Amino acid sequence: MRKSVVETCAASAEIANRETWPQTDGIQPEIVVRLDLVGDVVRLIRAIECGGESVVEVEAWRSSYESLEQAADTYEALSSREDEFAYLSVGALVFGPEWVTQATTGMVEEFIWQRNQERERVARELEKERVRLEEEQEAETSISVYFREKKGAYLLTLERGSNEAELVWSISFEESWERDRFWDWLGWQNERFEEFAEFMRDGSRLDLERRLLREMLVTEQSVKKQGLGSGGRRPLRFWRGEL
Amino acid sequence: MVVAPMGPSIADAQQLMIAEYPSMMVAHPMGDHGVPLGLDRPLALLGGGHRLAPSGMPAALGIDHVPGLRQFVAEACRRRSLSGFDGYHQPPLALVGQNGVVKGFAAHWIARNAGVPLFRVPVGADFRNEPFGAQEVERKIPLLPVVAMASVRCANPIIVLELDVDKPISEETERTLVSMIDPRVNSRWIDRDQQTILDLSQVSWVVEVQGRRFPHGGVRNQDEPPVIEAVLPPRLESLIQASGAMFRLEAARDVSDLRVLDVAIEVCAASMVTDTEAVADVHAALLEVKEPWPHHSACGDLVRAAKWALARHLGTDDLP
Repeated sequence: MRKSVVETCAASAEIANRETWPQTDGIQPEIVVRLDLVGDVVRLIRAIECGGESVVEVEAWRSSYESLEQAADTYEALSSREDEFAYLSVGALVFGPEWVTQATTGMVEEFIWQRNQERERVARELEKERVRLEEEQEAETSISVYFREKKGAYLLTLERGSNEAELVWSISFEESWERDRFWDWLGWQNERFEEFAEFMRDGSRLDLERRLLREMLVTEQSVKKQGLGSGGRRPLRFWRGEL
Repeated sequence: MVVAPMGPSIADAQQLMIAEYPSMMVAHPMGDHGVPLGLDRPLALLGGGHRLAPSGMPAALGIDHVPGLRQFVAEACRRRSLSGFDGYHQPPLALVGQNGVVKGFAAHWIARNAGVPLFRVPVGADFRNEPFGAQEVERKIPLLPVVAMASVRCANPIIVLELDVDKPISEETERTLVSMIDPRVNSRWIDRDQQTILDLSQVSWVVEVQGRRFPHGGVRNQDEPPVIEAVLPPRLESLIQASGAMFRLEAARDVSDLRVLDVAIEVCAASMVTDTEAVADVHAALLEVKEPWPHHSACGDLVRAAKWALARHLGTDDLP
């Protein structure tokens, strides 16, 4: 239904007979165009307010939707365009409600598209953040080998976490080549570090040391038997973890 | 007191006017001269009535692109309704801005919706309220606002005083303007040459100050001379700030859609054309108007284009 300017004027005249200014001085009339959402109906209202109360209200546009969600979407989409309320309301009064419906369809679609984009972006960011946190967590909980020197002794330590690392186990050597020989073997056991940590919960440092050194020697012998040993002080130098 | 002889026909018209509209006396003689221009008879107070109601002029379409102006008009209407006077009247209003913003358009909108005549009075060097000279035979023509009131026999026209930043006014002229506009004193304004006390308190004064922008109609470039900002003379400014309202108008991009729509509505309404198709046609035509400045076409161009489009729509031959 189209409402012509004549009809609008007639409607205004009718209201004019009914409405009067409030009789209190010192209250400035305010002109507002506002959007409201009642149930599944979105309305655009032009009003003159005096002291917070509407003196005249003209419903410029009204549109009802099939679902509450659709209405809420439209309301939200238009709410973000407050500076266009005046334009839309004037257009509605002159060209009729279809004009606004037409003009707003694009706005609503764009709003929904943008909202989806935004949601996707947020989801991507959250995922990124989650991965980062996971990595951080991992870094905090994983066990690594550190080469240390202390009072002339050469140490290999197993430590958990990166900052304020917790010492899990350590072994000390008098010569650096001894440490390197052990490292040739230990370097390929990183899958088992958690197992070592588990052992350390009940067992002693020395027990684990014994166990690991024995394992190393066994490995060295078996590698030598296979003819893969490099001989010299570091027989496992060219060994790559295979058994 | 010398009273100008009055023909029967004028008297009849006068009677009719008094019967039909509320009226008031605006002039009282002081000296030996008679009151000029037949101002000793009552003048009508036009406009007002249902237009002053909240849903009348304050709710009319066509001015939404000037922020605050509708509010100003609504407040003027409210005060007028409460004052007990009939006829439209507003506090002094200053519209300041470059050429091509909507100063003239806004004044026209007010006049048309208020139902009062509008006069544009260029304020030049001769705009002075001076006593008559030594030689009493030499008289001056009354100031244009007074002539305007007499010419339509209306006590409350809108009078637009046109000021231009290129032509600064003299101090004497400014004093004259202030005395005519100031609502505290203008109900007893003395025309020194005519020796008459005039009541100008019902006139709605609008002061328009035109700035300047170069080059006219050209595209902005680096060599363009600076814009001359429009400013009110200081005494006039403080008066209007205190007793009325000043609007600095700009061609803002964010309201350009609304401006075009408002021009279409107003031009159609002024020609008493109110069907939707006509407005839609004019609106569509205005959207085609090229913008000489970025995001801004001069309001005059828009109005002219709107009139053409309307004439085309109506199929009339007398194109404006």
